[in-house]
Amino acid sequence: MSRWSQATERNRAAVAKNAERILADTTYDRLRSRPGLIAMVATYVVTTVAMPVFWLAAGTLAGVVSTAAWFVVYLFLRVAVRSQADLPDDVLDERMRSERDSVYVGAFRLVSTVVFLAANAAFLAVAFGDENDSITFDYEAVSAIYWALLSLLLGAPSLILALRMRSTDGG
Amino acid sequence: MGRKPRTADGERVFNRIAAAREEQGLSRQGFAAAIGVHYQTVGYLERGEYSPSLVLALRISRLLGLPVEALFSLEPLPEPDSAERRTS
Repeated sequence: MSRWSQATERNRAAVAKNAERILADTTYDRLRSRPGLIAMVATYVVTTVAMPVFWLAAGTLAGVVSTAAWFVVYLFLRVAVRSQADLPDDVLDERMRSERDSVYVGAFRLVSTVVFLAANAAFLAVAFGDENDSITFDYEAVSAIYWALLSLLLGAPSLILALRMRSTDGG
Repeated sequence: MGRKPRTADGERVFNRIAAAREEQGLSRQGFAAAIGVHYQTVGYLERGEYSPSLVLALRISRLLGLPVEALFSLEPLPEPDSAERRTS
């Protein structure tokens, strides 16, 4: 067995062990109740919207703090949905695989709709806005766009999953 | 996954997995482990919110000792009758 195959095998075993732990976890079942999942989705949306606002309006330090807060919420969202959107086929059962796959269709629709609306708003602002207003792509502006996009792309599958999941209590 | 599974004609698929499992004295966890699915999937199956693949349906049928047509139907199913039970 080559070194590459050994590394791949070790990685597969580690992923399987971690997945087993996540799928059997009951510590965070309160997050997995229906109100818990709705609260996680709402908090994630709020932090995703607030993060670019902090970068643009309050400067670098506030931006970094808001990004750190978003990251913590992102981790809890993943825990709430048992990282199901990111787990490989061989650790999920057939219902979870089918659910995970359909979640990506919903996530694509969500991301494409938000990006479409944002791009159109930016286009209209430039086309019909005041000519004396200039757009400056400084560090804060680029950070705001970067983190907003990253948050949308990373969070969309888990958000859709959280909205579709039943409460653990009822499952 | 929260929707009731329906056939292409829009018909609902009924099952009596929960009753048959309880008759066998199996817990959800034990049943899930025996058929190789997550315990939450058993809830989805029992509520009729997920229709299993043919392979999973056959595994469930073998474990519960009932023919597939006694467990799944397009018509509402009566409670399991022990006389129907096969000897495996």
